[in-house]
Amino acid sequence: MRILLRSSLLLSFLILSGCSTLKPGGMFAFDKVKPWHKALLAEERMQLNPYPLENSANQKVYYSRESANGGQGVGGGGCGCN
Amino acid sequence: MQLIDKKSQPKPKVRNALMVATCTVLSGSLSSVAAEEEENTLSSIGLSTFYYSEENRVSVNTTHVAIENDLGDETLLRANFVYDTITGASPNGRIIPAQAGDSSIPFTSASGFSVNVNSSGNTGQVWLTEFTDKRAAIDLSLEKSLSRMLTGTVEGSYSSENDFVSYGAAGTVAWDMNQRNTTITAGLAVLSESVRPGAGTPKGLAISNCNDTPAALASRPAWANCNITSPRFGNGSKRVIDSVIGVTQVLNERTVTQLNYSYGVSLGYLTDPYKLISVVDYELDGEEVIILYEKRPDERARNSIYWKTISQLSPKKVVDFSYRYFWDDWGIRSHTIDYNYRYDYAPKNYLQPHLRYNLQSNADFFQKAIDASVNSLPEYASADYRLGKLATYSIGIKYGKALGDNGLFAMRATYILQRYRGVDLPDMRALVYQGTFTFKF
Repeated sequence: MRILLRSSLLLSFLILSGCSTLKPGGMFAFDKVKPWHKALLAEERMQLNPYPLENSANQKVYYSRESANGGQGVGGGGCGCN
Repeated sequence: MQLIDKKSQPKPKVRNALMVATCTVLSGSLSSVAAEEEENTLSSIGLSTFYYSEENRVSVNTTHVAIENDLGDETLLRANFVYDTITGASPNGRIIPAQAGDSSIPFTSASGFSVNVNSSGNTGQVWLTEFTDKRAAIDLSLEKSLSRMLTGTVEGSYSSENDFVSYGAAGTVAWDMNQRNTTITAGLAVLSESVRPGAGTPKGLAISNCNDTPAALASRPAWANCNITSPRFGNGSKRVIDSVIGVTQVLNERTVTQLNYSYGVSLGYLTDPYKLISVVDYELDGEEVIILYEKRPDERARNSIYWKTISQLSPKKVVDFSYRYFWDDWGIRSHTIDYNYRYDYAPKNYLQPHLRYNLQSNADFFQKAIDASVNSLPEYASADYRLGKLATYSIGIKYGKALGDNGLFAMRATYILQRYRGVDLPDMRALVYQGTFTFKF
C-alpha cells in the first residue's frame, strides 16, 4: 500500500511538473488543432515512438526480467529470454 | 532530426516547419495524427550497438540494424535485423544454500549445448545456471495508406536461438478522423514459438536429481518416487495471440496522448524447461532435499491498459510519460511508470534523463520452495523470480546530437536495480549502454 501511495505521489509530481510551465489547464488543455498548426507535432521528438532503436532494446530488457509486457502495440518477434 | 529553438533557429528551418504543416494538410501522414517525419524524406538507416550487463549474472551484446525505405505511393518498408550474444548466469529457481560453497546436489541440465551448471566462474552457486546463447532476429513490415484516412501495416518476424525459434505475423490498421486529431488503432499479432532444449523438455514437477546423493533423498516425501525416471518429451510449442485497440488524440498544438487496451492469450508449453524448484525439509533447517522441474499452466490470458502522453513544454523541453497497468489470469498485477524529459540545451544537442519504475505482484503458483512434508504436490509450481513479487527501478541519461541535416547520433547509460520480495535472491543490478546512429536519405 505504501508503495502504491509513493507511486501516486510520484505520478502526481511528474504530471504537475510538466504542467507548471504551461497555460491554465496544463499540457492537457484541449484544443481542436487545425492542420496548419501541427508543425510542432510533426517533429520527430514529438512522435509516440521517437527512438525506436532504444525502445526495442528496452522492451527486450524488461520483457526478460519482468512478467508484464506489451501495451504499446502488437508485432515483433519472440524471445526465449533467460 | 530537427531540434527546434525559436531564438536560434535560422529562417530556412522555419520555412521547413511551414512546409511540413502544408504537407500535412495536403497529403496527410502515413501514421496518424501527427506527421510522421519532417520534410519529404522517410527513408533512413539506423544502427545500434547495445550492451547490457548484470552484476555477476547475465551480459548481452546486441547489434541492431533498422532500415526504412520510402517506396513512394505512401508506402513504407521497414526491416529490422537484430543479433544478440548472451553469456552469464541466471537464477534457476533453487534456493540459495545456507552456506556459501554448498554444491552437494549437482543438477542434470535440461538443455543440450547451451546450458552448463556449476561450471567455472560460479562454482558452488547452485542457484545459478550458466549459459551462453545467440539470437538472430529479422522483422519486416510494410505500411501503406489504404485510403485518405486509413493506414494499414502488415508485419512478419522470425527469430532463432540455440534452443528457441519464433515465427510471427501481425497486422495493424489506423483510422484518422476529426481532422486527423484522432486516430483509432487496432492490431492483431500471432506468434508460433518452440522451445527446444537439447535433451527435450522435462516433465513438470518431475525430480531432476533422482540418482544423486541418496543420503539426502532418504528423507524424501512419499510422492517423490525416484524409481520412475523423469521422462523427457520433444520440443515445447506454444501459440501467442495479441491484440490491441487504442485511440490517439491531439490535445493541443503541443501535446499528443494515447490510450491502448491490449489483450493476449498464450497457449501451449509455457513452462521454462530450465527452471527448477527446491523441495526443502524445514526440520533440517530448510535444507534442500530434492530438486524438481517447475511447471506452469498451459494457458495464460494477459491484459494491459497503456497510457502515454508526450508534450512540448517549451521549444527546448519535451516530456513524455507513460503508465501501464497489467494483469493476467496467473494472478500477476503490475504497475509501470516511464518518464523522459528531453532538454535541447543547444541547437542540435540534447540531454534526456529517464526514469522508470515497475512494481509486480507474484503469480498464484509462485513459491520459493516446496515443503517436503506436503502429502501431495501442487498442480503448478514455479520459483522463477520473474513470477515473484518484485520492483524494478531504472534511471538513465541520454545525450543526442544531430550530425548535419540528416544524421543523428545518440548514446545513453541506464542503471537498473531489481529488488525481490518473497524470494531469497540478492538484488539485481544492471547497467545498460547503447549507442545509436540514424541517417536519413
